[in-house]
Amino acid sequence: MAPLYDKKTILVTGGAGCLGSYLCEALARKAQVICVDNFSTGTPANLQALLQQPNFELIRHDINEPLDLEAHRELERFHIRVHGIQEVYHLACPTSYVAANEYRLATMQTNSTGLRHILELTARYKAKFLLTSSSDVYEPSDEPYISEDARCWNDHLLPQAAYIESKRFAETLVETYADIHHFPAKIVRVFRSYGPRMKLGEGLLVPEIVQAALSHEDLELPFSEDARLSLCYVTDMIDGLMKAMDHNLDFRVINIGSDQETYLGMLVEHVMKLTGSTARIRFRSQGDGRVSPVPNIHKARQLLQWIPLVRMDEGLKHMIEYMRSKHHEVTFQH
Amino acid sequence: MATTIIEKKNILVTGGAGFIGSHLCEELLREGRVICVDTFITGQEANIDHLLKHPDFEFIRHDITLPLDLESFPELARFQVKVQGVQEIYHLACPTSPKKFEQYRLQTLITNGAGTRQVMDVAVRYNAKVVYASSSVIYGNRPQDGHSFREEEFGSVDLLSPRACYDEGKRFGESVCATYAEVHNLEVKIARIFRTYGPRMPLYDGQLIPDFITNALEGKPLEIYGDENFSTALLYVSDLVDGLLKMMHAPKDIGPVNFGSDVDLPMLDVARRILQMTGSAAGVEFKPPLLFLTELGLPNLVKAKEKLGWVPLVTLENGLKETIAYTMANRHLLSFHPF
Repeated sequence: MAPLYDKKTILVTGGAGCLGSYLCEALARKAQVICVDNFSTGTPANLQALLQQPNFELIRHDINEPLDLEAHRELERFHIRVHGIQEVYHLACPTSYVAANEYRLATMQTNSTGLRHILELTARYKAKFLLTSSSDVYEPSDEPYISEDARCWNDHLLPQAAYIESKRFAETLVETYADIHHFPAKIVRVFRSYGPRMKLGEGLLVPEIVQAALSHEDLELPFSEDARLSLCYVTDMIDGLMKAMDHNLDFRVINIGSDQETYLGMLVEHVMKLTGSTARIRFRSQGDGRVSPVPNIHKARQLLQWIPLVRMDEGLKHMIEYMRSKHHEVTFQH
Repeated sequence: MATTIIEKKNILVTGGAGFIGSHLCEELLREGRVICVDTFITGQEANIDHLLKHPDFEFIRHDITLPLDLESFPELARFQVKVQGVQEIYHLACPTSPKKFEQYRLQTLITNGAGTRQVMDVAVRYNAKVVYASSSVIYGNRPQDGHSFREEEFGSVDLLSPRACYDEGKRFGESVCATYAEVHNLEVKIARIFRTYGPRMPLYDGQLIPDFITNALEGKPLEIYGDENFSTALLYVSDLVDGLLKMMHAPKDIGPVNFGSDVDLPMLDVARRILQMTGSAAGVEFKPPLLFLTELGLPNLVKAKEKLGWVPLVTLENGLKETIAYTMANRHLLSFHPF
């Protein structure tokens, strides 16, 4: 069936988060975008560039309640009843490393009931679906280059299980719905990414280091200088998500992340050089363990022709520029 | 007689019209008032028929994936839930059917996810103690090296397999329990139940023992879903009920506990035993394995023994005798169900 309209209509849940807002921006270049968020951890400020655009609409809604797009008056111009929804990117998941306890029950609910509502909607419009899962579903291991068929055996009764086990359950829900209702669904296991608009005060590594550098304040990190991590810049990540959605190839799960490892000490050095900061960053522990796992991205390379392109220097520069411009606001809020 | 002094506990049993649930309700009536909730996806009204007239028993047909407000049911007025609260919750609800497994995949997931959350919300409201009926499936397949599962093991569940709705669903259910327990300081215990048999198991549903017995009685070949090596351990239902009650009264921090039999039995031997006990001349046939009917591993029972003083007591001989007697008495009635 030929499309009735030139442009696709795409739903993005959790679109006011860091990753979500970049995704909305990229999608809005070619499509009509409906962003749903309840601002539990996202913020409408991330979407400022889009709010005035006619092909973008933001709906404040908690997906734990059923979502009927056709009942929203502000979406009338998208003619959903006729035109439907072609793609659904499901990013919504309240996460916070600092206030984890506050969000634990919400995380579990969003990944079960919330996700189910979005899958019902996907089935209704026979849309294509993409879930952003997490590298956290893999069994913790010291081995680098985790491939998609690596083991996912985790302790599901630990405090952090509210997040990890929720993501596992979300994957099972997607698999089951897609199988029963026959819609194309992809699960992207997102590895650590970074970029402007990441939240401060959340214990997230890169923004905390940049913030300390910009305010020339000392910072102590709970890791060693030789700890290794893999970091994927946000625009690369978004590109990976869109490629995963666009390809009609038959795969369910795919890793997106950077397979280039860097040392935490080197990352800090980069930031200091780029900012000319006098802040001193101390490392609380010793050893050369991993802060975040490194993906094997052979599958993404082969199937999607995707590789991360943004060099760390470049990514950090963007991030520093952004945070510098927001520095006043940010320090004022804190 | 309005009084806030609790004469008898109010106990909620979800999935109470199921095979295990109905035996549990029966036993709980000795110590409290029982509110049995079921929506008959795989539970059966016949299982609780004999309890409906009991003054301390009340049945509510309700889907636990929806919010459950016990105080809104007029039939529960005499239990004075508003004043007396709910002291204990046994959360057993979950569709289980090897034969109709495919049909219930989504319901299975939703019951374990949203359903468990609704039950926990009831527990929070009344500060009730909870026993969650989890399953041996959270450990994954029978291990190659044949070791018995200890409670500390994470399990090897494949979260994208077609049967993950049950295996992963139960894991998620456990996580919901653990998270609620911590966030709301609730007393929630996880019982990991291994293969159980006894009267009131549904017939013609691929549940092994009841189908063996009906076929033996009808002179049809007994069907084993696998080959002659297919073996499994079998726990008699009254032993399990005893374990669940002990679990409810166990210390708060006991963690998950296995309940099952650790005696591995070749299905062929069990089938032959049933043929002998029923005096049947029927034979045995091997069928392709069912996705949902796997061998399962064996439980390590050290924790149940040491912490709860629980061991399975009913011999296979006696368990089968009871089950055969029940099936003989009920099969005409039971087989009427249009499966």
